[in-house]
Amino acid sequence: MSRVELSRAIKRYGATQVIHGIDLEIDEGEFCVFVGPSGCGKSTLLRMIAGLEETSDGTIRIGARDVTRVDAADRGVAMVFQTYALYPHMTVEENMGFGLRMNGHAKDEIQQKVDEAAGILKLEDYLSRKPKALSGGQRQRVAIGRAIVRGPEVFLFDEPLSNLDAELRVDMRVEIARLHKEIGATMIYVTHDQVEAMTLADKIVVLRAGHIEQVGAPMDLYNDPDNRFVAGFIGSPSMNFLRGTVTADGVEVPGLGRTLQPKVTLPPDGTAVQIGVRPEHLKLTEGTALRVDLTEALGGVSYAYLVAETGERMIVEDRRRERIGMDTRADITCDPGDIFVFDAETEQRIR
Amino acid sequence: MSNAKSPLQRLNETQSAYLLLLPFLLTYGLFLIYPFFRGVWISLHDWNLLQVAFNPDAKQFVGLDNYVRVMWGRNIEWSPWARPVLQVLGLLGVVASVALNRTRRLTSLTSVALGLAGAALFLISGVHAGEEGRWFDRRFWPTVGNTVLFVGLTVPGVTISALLIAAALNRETRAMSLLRTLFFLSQVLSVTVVTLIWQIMFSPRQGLIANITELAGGSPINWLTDERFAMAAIVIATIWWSLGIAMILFLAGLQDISKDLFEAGALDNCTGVRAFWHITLPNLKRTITLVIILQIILHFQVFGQSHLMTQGGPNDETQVLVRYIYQTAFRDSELGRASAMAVFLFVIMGAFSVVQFLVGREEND
Repeated sequence: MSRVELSRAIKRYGATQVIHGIDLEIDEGEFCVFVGPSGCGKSTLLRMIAGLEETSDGTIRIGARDVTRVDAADRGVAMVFQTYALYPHMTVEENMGFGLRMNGHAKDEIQQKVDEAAGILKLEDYLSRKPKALSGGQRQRVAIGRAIVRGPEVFLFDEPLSNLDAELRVDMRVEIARLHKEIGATMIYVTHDQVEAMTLADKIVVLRAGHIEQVGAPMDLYNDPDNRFVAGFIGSPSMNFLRGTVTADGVEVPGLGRTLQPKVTLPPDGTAVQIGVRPEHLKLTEGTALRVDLTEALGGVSYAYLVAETGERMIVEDRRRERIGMDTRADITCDPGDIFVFDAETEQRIR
Repeated sequence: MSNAKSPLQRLNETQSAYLLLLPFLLTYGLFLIYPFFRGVWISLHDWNLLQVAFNPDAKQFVGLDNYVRVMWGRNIEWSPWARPVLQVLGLLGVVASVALNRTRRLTSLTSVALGLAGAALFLISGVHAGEEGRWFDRRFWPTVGNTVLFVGLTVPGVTISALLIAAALNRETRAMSLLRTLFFLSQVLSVTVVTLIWQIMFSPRQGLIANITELAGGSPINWLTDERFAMAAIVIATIWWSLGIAMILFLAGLQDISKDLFEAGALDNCTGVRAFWHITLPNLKRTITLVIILQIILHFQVFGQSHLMTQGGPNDETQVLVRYIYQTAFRDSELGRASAMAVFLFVIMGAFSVVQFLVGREEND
C-alpha cells in the first residue's frame, strides 16, 4: 500500500502532446477512478503510472520513491488489462504464479500465494485449466488473481469490465468493490462508464483531452460540478442544458419561454449562459411549452424526451404511475436550487 | 416459366459446385493423380526407358523385384550393435519419450512420435550386410542417409535463423520493412542463380569466404570438393535461399501475438530474451511446427543444389535421393527402379504430412 503522486506529468508522441501536465495525489488505500470519454488520455495516464508508457516530462512517485524512470516490473504495481492478457499457454495456476517465478521466488512460496489468491477469488476448481477453457468472467478473475499474487503496492485496472456482458459486469463490479474492502490496497481504475466510476470510487478524476476537469468524491462531482463537461458527464441520464441570457429578473430561457430565477450570483445583464438541470430534478406539469417526443418506461421510472420550440432537447424523469402520451404537450418545473448555471463561453460554473 | 431459364440456371447447388470444381479436378487428376499411379505401376515393371519408347512391349511385369533390388541385398542381417552411435541415439529417443511422457513434459502424441522415431532409428540402422553379403544397390542407402543428413541440417538451420530474423525485424519502421524485403528477395531467385552465387562465394580463389579466411590468416578451404565441407556448403546455400518464406510465416505468427501479453510480461519482470523464451516461443508453437514440417517435405526433394554445385560429389558425399532417381531414370534408363525409389520418397514425405495433420488436429482440441 502506497500513495501515488503525479506532478506536472506530460506525455508527448513526437510533436503531439496528449497528457498536459497532470497534478494528482492518490492516498494510501484509496480507490481512484479515471473517467472520461474515449481519447481523453485516461488509459495513457494509467499506462504512464504502470511504466508501460514513458513519461515525457514531470514526475511520478509511488510511496516514497520517484519511479518516473523505473522499469515497469520494479514499480511495485500490478495491472489488470481489458483483454485480460492471460498467457494462453499456461494454466491458471502458472499464470498467477508467473510474476513471482520471474522474480525468483521459491516454489512453495509461490504455491502458497497462488492458493491464497485462488481462495479469495474462488478459483480453486480452475487452477489446472488453461484460459481458453474459462468464461470471460473467470478469465478476468484470473487476471485479478495474477495481480493479487504479486502483492503490489498499487493495483491498476484498465477498463477491466468492458469485455464482459452487462449482467456479469455488475457482478464483477461488486466483486472488485469487495476485493478493495478486503485487501485495502491503493487501486487506480480506468473506465468510460460513469456508473462504474460512481459506484466504485473513493475519488473520481474526470479527464478531457489530456487535462483534469475535476477531482473529487463521486457525490461531490454530482452535486457540485465545476464546469459544464463534468456536469454533463456525471449522472445518468445526463444533465439537460438550455441556452439562456441574463436579464434583470433572472435568466431568460427561450426554450421554456420564460425567465428562471436560479439561486446563484448572476453575471451582468446580457451575458450568454447555459442552464443545466438533471432529469431527476425536473417535474412534468400541464402546459404547452414543450412537445413530448418519446417516452421510455423502465418499470419503476420512465423517461420523457421533450423538444422545445427552439429545437433543444430535454429528458425528464417521471415517477408517476401513468405514462404521458407521445406527441402531447407539457411543461416542466423544478426547484430553483437545483438549477446550475454555466458561462456559455468558458463553460465554467457560475455559483 | 422454367423454360425461360438458361441451362446454367437450372443447375442445383451441388451440380454447380462440381461444375466449378471441374477445371481443378481435371488438372489435378491429369497431372498429379494419374502420374502418381502410373509411377507406382511402372515401379512394378522391368522398364527400360529407351527400349519401351521404341517398343511399348519391351517392359516386363516383375512384381516387387525393383524394390528388393533397390533396398535389399544378399545375407542381410540385423544386430543391435551394427551402428552403435545411431542405435544408442535411437534407444535414447525411446527412453526420453517414455520419461517425458511420465513427467507430463510432452503431450502423448508428441511422445509417441518421438518414441516411434527412436525405435525406427534403432531398428533400421541395425540392418547391415552380413559376412559374404552385400547390398544389391550399394549407393541407395548412403544416398538416403545423405538426404536425411541434408534435411536434418537444413531444417533446423532455416527454422532457427528465420525465427531470429523475424523476431528482430518485427517492428514497424521503414528500415525494418526494407530489411524484410531484402531477406525475402533470395526466395524469388531460381536454383541456378542461387547455386551460381554460392559457387562464387565458396570459390577458394576469388570467393568472399576464402578472402575472409585469408584475412584471418587461415588457408582457404575448397568447400565444394572437400569431403568434409561439401554437404555443409550445400546446406548453407539452401538455408540462405529458403529463409524468406519461413521468415514471412514467423512474422505473421508474431503479429498474431497480442501486445498485451508482452505488457503483462513487462510487469511480471519478463522482458527481452526472457519474454522471447516464455511468451513468444510458446505462442509461436503452431507456426514453428508448420514451418518445420513444410521444410522437411520441401527439402527431402532437394535436387538442384546438389546437381549444380557438387554434381553429387565428392565421392558421392552429396548425392541425394532425387538426383539418384533422376540419374537412374534418365542416364541409366532404369525407369522401373527409379520409380520404386520415387515411391519410397513419397512414403517418407507422406508420413510427415500425416504427422502435420495429426499435430494440427491436436492443437485445435
